[in-house]
Amino acid sequence: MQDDELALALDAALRGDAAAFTVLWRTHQPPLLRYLRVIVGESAEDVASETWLQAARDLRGFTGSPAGFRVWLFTIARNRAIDERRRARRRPEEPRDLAERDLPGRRPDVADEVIERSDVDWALRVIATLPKDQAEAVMLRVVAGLDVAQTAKVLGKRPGAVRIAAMRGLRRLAQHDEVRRRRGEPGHTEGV
Amino acid sequence: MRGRDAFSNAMRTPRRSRIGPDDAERLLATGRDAAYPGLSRLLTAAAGPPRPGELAGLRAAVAAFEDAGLVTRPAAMPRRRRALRPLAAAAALAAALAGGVAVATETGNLPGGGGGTPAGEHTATAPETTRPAPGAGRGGTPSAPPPTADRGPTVSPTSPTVAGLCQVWDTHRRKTKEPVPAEVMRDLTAAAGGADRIAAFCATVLAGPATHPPTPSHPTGRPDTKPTPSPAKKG
Repeated sequence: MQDDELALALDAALRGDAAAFTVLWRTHQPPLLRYLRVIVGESAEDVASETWLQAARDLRGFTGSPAGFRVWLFTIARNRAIDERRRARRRPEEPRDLAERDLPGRRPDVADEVIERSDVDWALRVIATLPKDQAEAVMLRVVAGLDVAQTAKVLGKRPGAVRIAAMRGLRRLAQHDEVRRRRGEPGHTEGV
Repeated sequence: MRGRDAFSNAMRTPRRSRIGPDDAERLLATGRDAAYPGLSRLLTAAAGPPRPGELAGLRAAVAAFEDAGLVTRPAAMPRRRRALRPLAAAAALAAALAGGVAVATETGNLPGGGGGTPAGEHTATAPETTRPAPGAGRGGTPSAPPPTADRGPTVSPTSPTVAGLCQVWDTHRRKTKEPVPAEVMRDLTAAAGGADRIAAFCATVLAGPATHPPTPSHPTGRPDTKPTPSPAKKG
């Protein structure tokens, strides 16, 4: 969806129009969920729900462009994700869960590849093998569609640091075995 | 020859593995670059069209949005409630402090984190009841928890928002001993009619529509739990 359409939806949502809010949600929920999946794994749905609850509650006070809204929303999501990771770390009864969360993608099971239903799952899993800062930079740039400055805002970093993190992430991804193996062939079934 | 082997090995190393700033920017902005087919494929997939499973949860979000409209729209505030506003602000502050200023303070120590609530960047959040900024200890901090009755929407137990809140609450309770986020507690306390009733309340809600038919046309015998659109609603 183009930003001028989104601007209309945002304006209407700010005036209390629930249908317009629905438009915002539909546009942003998929990238939000994918970003969260990379940084909190299986808790992504929960964290996305919490993010929208907070966004819905606080939206009336928001002023800004659709781009500003994206930054705002992903910042909420990131803060919620940080909370979630902190909670996960304090869960002594789930050490395995914790280990997976802290090292997303460090599960070299071939089984994972087999049960993947789509290229999206594959891509997210591979990106999740990156160091956290690189994974976040790549996801916010590519999936959330933020530019360098906006990504820097969400991450609370300098633009230069974001550029470097994203570039290193791409270099690392380019070296990834599965990425080198799958050079653009559509509809993968290999590895099964 | 040694030198020759090393040289040809170097030549064989795919040049695409060393991505420069320009290539990186192109890949990040457009998701593709013919020189990097594998990477293009990966990035295109990651940013691919939404799948049906990714569009679940809309109802709860919209319900939260609508509920928020009942309580935070400044225009809906009658003048005579002005006197209550400092109290409401103090109450919000107390709730936030009690909850450990969940997001705000904890994320304040992130590198360059200019404060927790992203609202600070662009917005003033909701007027008057704005969550305090990290470290905003100014003003009288009430020591007693605020009365819950006049804050937060009174929502029907069948509301998807309540279901969402109960889910968050339940998840916290089961997965961790950590306190439920202050905001969630606040709304749930209001919805359940008291903090000590949340467990029973959520048990009912999470039990599903069997006990509470979702059709509003059939009264459940609890007419008082419907949201009150009137701004004069007060506890």
